Amino acid sequence: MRQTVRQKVITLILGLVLPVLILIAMEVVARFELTTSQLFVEPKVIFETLVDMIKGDELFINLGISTLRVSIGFVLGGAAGLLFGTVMGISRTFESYVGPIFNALRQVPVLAWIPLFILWVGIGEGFNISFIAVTAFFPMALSTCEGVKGVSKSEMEVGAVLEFSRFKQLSTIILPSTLPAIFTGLRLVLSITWMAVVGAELVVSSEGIGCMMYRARQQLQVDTVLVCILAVGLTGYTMNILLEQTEHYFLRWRKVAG
Amino acid sequence: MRKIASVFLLLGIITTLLSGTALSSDNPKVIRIGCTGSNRPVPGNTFGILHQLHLLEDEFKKDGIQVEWNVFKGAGPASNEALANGAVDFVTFGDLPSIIGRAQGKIKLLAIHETRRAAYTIVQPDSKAKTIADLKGKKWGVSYGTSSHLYFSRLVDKFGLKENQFNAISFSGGDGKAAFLAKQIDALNVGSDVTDYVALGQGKVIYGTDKAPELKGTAGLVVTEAFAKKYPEITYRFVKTYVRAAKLGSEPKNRDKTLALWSATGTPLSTYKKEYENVPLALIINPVPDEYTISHLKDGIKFAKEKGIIRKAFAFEDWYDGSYLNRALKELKLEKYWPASDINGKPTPR
Repeated sequence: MRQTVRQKVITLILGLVLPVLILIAMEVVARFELTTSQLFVEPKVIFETLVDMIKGDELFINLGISTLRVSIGFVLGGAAGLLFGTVMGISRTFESYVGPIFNALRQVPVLAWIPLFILWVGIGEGFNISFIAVTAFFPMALSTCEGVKGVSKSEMEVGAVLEFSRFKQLSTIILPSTLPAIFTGLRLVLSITWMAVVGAELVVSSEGIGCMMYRARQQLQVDTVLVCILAVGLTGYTMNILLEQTEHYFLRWRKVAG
Repeated sequence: MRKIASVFLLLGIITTLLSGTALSSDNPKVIRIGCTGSNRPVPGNTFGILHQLHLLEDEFKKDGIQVEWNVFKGAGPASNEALANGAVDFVTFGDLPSIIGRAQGKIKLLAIHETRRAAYTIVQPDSKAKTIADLKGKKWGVSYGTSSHLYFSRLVDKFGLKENQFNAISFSGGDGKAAFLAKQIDALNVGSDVTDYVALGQGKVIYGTDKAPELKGTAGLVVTEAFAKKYPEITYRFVKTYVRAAKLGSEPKNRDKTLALWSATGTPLSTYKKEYENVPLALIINPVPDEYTISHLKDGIKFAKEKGIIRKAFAFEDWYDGSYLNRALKELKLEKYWPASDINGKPTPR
């Protein structure tokens, strides 16, 4: 049921309650020095830093670099995962061969791949993109595979009765039915690739939002770190909204059918 | 009657608790020290001497105070984080991290820990780069937030270049060395361990503080203001023991023992011998600020502010508290012991 404007405003206000309470708490802790730690900064200082960083371009430049890396890694890893997952979902033979090693490797924490990638690919853009692509690959492949396996038997039988070719089965039955699972995978991949890009840039990079955070941490600039976290959060949130809109477009047939 | 007895009992409990609190605030249970290194024993200079000869432990044993040493692989930035978290009381670290620490928090500089710290820029053995300008666009390993970062910034500035003209890659701890040896980066800033790289043919020097002495580093001993305020006498005794250790290590008759002590951390004795050849150790292990070290630190504060490394500059005089050091020097009759240098590093009378 569509929300009324009033309901949307109420939802927005309720959503802002917690962030505002957090900001008030931060202000109180920092202003009255309730802790000896210098790691608590006043929200006003964070805001001033945000304004300075926007004026100085460095925030947008580094955020742009990270966003580009995420986008490329997302597309490459996502496409590879989509293809791999589809084949694994369709072919039991293929799944028998690759399933065990695939399931073992996807248990490895994302950041644990970093040392290996540095050794294999070296430091540079090759490392950043390939690392992000690999982190995108596993969840995309898994979601797609589960989606393909979840296509209803009755729909497959219709294709068999109408003597669809393998390709037509794939394009008219399997992939459309799998789209919801694919988009679920894409949303998951989006958050994982942001984690990967920040992780990679924290470890070794010369630019990017993760690199900015690392250098700020080294210089004890907590305000800069918080601004970077905010920037990543907002950018990721925006990309998620775009993805949701894309999903609504491709899955509009669900509303019509509903 | 019962009520009166209860009041007295309550007063007694409160008095006991308060007196207990007063007693417990005279001395800390433990003195927590932080320094940079990758292993034990604690590397270099006065702290190395203090640690290996257990001078602080002996000084505070009679008071039942433990001494806890924390060695941070993450160097100055890690020390700053520990200070910010209230995890350490005394720290030695380089010029830039101590400036960052002071700009962001409440620490006091008590004494100098090291002066004239050398730094060099090395490139791969087969590199065609001969000048700093040749490194434009190349991958250069930099440890941000450390003395090495200040050296890098000043070096680039000296040649009228900008940091963003280089592909400066952030590293911490020994990761930069690993990346350089794996030929993943083109250049790296190193210290006295430069001789190892050159001797093994792993790198060649294209610039260093031997050509630009004004880029040499300084390290200091700091204490948190909270600790010094709460335990002024303990702070004084710490500084006095520190001065005693510096005196011990800097005496010419102890030169070989001091260098051998430092090399126990893993850096070869030959490296130290070469680094300090014909250099009196009293010049290096010199806790007393002079025009040379003060001007270096003041320049460091100004430079860090200009480059945006720190947001607010501060006066050196507000940072340095020489009361403990001066008292220790007077008590130990060492006011004239250490040499002083002028702003250019030339000897000057104290």
